[in-house]
Amino acid sequence: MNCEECQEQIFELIEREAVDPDGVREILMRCPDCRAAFDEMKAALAAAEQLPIEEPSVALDAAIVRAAAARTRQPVPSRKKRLQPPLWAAAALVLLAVGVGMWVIPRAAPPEGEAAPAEMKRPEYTMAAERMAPKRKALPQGAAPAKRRPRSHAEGAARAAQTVQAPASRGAADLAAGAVAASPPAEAQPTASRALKEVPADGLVARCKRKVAGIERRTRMDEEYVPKPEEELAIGQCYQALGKVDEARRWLRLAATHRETKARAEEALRDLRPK
Amino acid sequence: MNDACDEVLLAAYRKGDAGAFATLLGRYRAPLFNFLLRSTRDRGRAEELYQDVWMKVIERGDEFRGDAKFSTWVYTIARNLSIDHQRKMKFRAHASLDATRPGASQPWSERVSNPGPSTEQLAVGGLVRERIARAVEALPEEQREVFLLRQLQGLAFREIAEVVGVPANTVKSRMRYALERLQQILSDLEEPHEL
Repeated sequence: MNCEECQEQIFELIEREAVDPDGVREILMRCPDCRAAFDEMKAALAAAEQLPIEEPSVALDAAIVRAAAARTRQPVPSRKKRLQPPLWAAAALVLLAVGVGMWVIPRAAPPEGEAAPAEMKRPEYTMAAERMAPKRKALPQGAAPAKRRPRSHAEGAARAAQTVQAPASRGAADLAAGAVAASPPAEAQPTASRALKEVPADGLVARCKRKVAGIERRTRMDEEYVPKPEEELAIGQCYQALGKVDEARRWLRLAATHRETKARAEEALRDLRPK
Repeated sequence: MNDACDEVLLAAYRKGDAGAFATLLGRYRAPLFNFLLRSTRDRGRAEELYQDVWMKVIERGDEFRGDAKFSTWVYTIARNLSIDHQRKMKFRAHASLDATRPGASQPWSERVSNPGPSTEQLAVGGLVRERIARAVEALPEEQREVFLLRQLQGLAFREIAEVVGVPANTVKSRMRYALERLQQILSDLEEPHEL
C-alpha cells in the first residue's frame, strides 16, 4: 500500500470499513503526511460532533401526536377499499336489478307453445319477415354464415319491435317485447315491421298489451312520471303491432319530438300512413 | 413497547396504538428536525417541513413496505420534501448564503473559516457550535445531506445510499469530501487525535 491508497482509506479506517486496516495503520505510523491527513479527518469528525442539536417546539410535536391519535380513532380505509362501493350501495343495486327484472320479465306465462325455442317452432311473423325482406347480400360460396344466437319467440318480437338504429333502441324493444333482442340488419327492419302488422303474433300482442297497459297505468298513477322517448316509441310500435293506428300515431308522434327517437318514430309513422 | 424496533412501532400504530406513534416520534424528532433545519437554514420552514413529514408518515403508514427500514423511509420523505422546498426557494437560499450582508465584506463560507477568537473563548460564547452549524450549512447539498444523515441519525452508508439514491461508495466519497471541506473551514479549531 502506498501513501495515496492509504489516504483514500483513512476515512474508511475511521468508519471501521477499511479494506486493509492494518496496512493503513502501518503507513500512518511511518508517514508524517498520511498521519497529518488522518489527524485532519479526525478533527473534522470531532468538530462535527459539536454540531448543535436544536429541538422542534413541544407544541408542534403535541399537534402531530394529536393528529396521529385522531387518525387511529377514524381509520382511513386503504386506497383499494376506498374504491369499493359501500355495502348499502351494492344492496341498492341488487334491489334495482331485481326490480327492473320484475318489470321486464312478463308477469303472466306466455300462451302454450310460445316459449318454445326458435329451432322447434319459429314464429310465423319471423318467417314472413324473412320472406318479405329485401334480398340480402349473398354470402360467398362456402363462407360460414355470421354467428347468430338462437332466436326465441320473445327475441324475435323484440327484433321486430325495433326499427332503424337498433342498438340505441334495445331498451325500448326490451320494454316492448320483454326480451333482449339482437340487433337486426337495418335493411330488414321496415319490411319486418310490415310483416309484423300483417301477421301479428299472439305472443307479441299479449306482451305489448301488458307493457302498454303497465306504462299507461304508471302514467296515470304518478302524475310526475313522464315516459322516456324510448318508452314512447316502444308503446307506439306496440300499438302499431296491435293494429291500433290512432294510438300508435299518437305515441309515435310523441317519440318523434325527441332527437334520439325521431328517425325511428318517423319511419314507423311512414309505415302507418298507407293504413 | 419502548424497546420495539421502529417497524414494529409503526405496525402497532397502524393497528390503532397512538402511543407507538408517540414513541416513534420521540426517537426521530431531534435528528429529523435538525436534518431539515440544516437543509433549509430556516427554523420556521424546518418546522413546516417537519410537520409535513410526520403527516405523510401518518397518512402513508399503510403504504410502508416491510422490506425497508423505517429510518430510510422517513428520511426519504424528508429529503424529498426538502428538495421540493429548495427548488421553490432556490434564489432566496443562494442569496442568504452567498450574498454579502450589510456591513460584511465576505460571504458566509469564507467568513466561517476566518481565524477569530480562541477556541476557549468561542466555546464559552457558544460560537464554536454556531460556526460549525454554519459550516455544515455551507456544504454542497449532496455532501451536506450525506453528512447529516450520518452524523445526526447514524445511518449506515448503505442506508444513506438508499435514501439519496446513489451507490454506497459514492456516499462514502461524499462523506469524505464533506469532512475535508469542514476541516478546511474549521481548521483553526483542529486538535490532534489518537489513532
